[in-house]
Amino acid sequence: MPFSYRPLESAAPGGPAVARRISRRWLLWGALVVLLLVAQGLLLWLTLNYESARAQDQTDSAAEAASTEMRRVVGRVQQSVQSLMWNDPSVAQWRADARDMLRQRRELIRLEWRDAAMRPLQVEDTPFGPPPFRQIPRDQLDTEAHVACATATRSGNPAYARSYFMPLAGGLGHEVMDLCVPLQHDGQPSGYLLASMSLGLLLEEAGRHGSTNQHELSLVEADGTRLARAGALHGAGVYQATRLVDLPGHSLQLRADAVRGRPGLIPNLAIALVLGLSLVLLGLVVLLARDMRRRSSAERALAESLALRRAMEDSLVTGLRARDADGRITYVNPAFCAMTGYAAHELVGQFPPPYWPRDRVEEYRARQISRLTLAQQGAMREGFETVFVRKNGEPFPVMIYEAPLLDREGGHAGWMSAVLDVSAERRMEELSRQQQERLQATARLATVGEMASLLSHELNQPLAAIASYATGSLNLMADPEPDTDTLGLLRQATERIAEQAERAGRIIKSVHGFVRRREQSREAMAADLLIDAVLPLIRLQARKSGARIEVDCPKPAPRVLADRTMVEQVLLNLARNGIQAMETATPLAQRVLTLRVRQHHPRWVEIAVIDAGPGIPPEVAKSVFTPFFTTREEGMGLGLSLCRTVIEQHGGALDFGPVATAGGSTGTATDSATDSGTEFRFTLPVPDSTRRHTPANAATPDTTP
Amino acid sequence: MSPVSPRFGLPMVYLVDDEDVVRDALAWLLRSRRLLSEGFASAEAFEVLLDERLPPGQHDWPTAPSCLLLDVRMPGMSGLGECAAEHSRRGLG
Repeated sequence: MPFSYRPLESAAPGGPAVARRISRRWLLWGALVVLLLVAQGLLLWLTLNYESARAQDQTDSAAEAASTEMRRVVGRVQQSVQSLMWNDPSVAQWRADARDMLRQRRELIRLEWRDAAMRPLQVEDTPFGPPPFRQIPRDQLDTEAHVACATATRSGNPAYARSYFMPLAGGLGHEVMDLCVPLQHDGQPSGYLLASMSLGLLLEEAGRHGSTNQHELSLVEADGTRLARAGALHGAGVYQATRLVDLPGHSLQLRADAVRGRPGLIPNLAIALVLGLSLVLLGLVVLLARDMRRRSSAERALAESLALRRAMEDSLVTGLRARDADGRITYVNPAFCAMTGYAAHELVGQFPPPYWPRDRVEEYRARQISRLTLAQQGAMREGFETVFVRKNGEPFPVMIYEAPLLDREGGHAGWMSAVLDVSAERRMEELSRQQQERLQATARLATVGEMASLLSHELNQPLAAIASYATGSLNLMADPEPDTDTLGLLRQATERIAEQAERAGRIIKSVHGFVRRREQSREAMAADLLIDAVLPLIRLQARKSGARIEVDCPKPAPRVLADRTMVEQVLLNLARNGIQAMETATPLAQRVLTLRVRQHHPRWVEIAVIDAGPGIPPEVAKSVFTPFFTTREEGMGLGLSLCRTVIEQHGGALDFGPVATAGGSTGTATDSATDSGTEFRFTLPVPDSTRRHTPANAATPDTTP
Repeated sequence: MSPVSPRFGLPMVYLVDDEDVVRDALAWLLRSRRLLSEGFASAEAFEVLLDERLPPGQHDWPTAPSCLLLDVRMPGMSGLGECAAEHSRRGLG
């Protein structure tokens, strides 16, 4: 970077501080993540706990319900068995009843009617499935029944025996429990009724009535050996509950095992939602943090570029000025403030701007409007020049380059102008122009002086000779009595006087011939070409005094026959006179110099230079064309007389008059206005070819001015 | 110095001018006043006359009252130069 600007943050010297700040930021991030993870884990753990507690509760209640049902089923079976012996049935009746009962209750496998010595009297087997006690005979398996019957006899109530395994054909078998109902006849034990029931079928019966379709039910021994199970379901072995089913003489352990296993890591939808949401949240936070970091770095870059831009603007010597669409100032840079002398707050938002000349505000406003509408049509890259006024009242010329300001949507939001103070340049230009002019004037003076001295020397001799002869002749004539000799002398003197006078005339003629030689350089050209050629020089002159130049020329411009260089000098001379005439008394707004071209006559084109000065006073008007007459200190007084000579050599005429009589072509030198300005006009001939092309004009009589 | 020198007769006017016409006109004018004149076309020609008539080391020529009329601008020696030479020759500083 070619120049330094103030860094916004102490980036270079604070290395360790930055590292500390970064590590602290990472620490914060870590804490946040850890906190989030802990919260998530806790939530998960609590949910799992809750879930398993609920499953355990369900299992418990299922076991409770199943055991109650089991007790109920067993009690019903017991009642049915007891009802067999009501009303002392006959053997046939008992058998029929027993068969009926076996058909109705599948869980009953065999009913036996035994006598008091435990000898079987009647036996009925279940009609379902293969007949029991075939693999192992009954008498080998009724040990438990004996114990139960003994208990039953003792208590006088039915008693249950311990269960035992009764194998069936094909490797299958039933865990069988016997019920012993003591029979009494006249207060004496008369026998027993033995009912063998399958525990598996009992359990199935109990499970069918319960609503425990989520659990596997089984009967187990105290050591955990499973005796019978019911249902098609298999427990997962996670949630288990055991209940005791108390029966007279025997008690069974009923175990419920929930089908559901350990709960999954994501136990339900709500938790999944919460977890998902918090993950999304984490992601969002990370995204937000990244976005913020990017934003802050962008902000820093922006601030840096802003500082760079500001430094650039401050270092500029070119004034910058931004205006909105209404022409109101929205921004100025320090260079512009320094240029105009106003502070920024005195300029921003002001309309009209304080640096416009007070007496030309309307003109400037109109110009601004036209410029701004022009700008919208594009194409105004080249600058324009105008005059601003400093705060101390000093006017100064500026060069303005303007470009449209576009907003983000590409719409037109205003104008940006670069303003250059060109007063120094103008001063230099003016200085060099003046020097140039002085040099030219000096050169002209030298030329004219030399010519005059040459002429005077050349003419002096014949004139001195003439004077000598004349004086001598007068001396001779003073003689009161002239003799013939004297007369001869006189004749001689007179002859020589004539001789010398002729010689002087020749000298004059030779000078005239020199002037006449320039006639050959005449050419035909359009009148506006003449004006265009000198317009830059005239504008240069006009800029100094703030005058404006207006050209009033018909299109197409009439053609003239003229010595270009000479006529241009005439135009320059007249224009300079006009501008200088307006410099003192004319208000700035009225300083207009008009160059007008008119063709009132078929043979003559009139060119007029019209100023708005105070006019020419009558005493000056008389001697305007007198050689070496001038009203200016540095003037030589040859300007207007030379101009007239040049125009007359073209065959035209140069005269002047007040502007009021601009329509007339015969304004006389003595007419002079007081404040309406002066008009100098001259005529130039139209080339012959033009005349030939317009035969109607040829008929008009020649009136040489 | 006596007004008239018998040796050299009448007072003389010496005309030095490159222009014949002017010389002639002046001579004519002097003649109308009855003055004698002698013309020279250049300062050098006048010097030649002086060399002829003025013996070396002498300053008293011409003895009669004389006038020298010099044209300022001439080819060769100018009138002012001749005037200065004449002055120094006669010790007039």
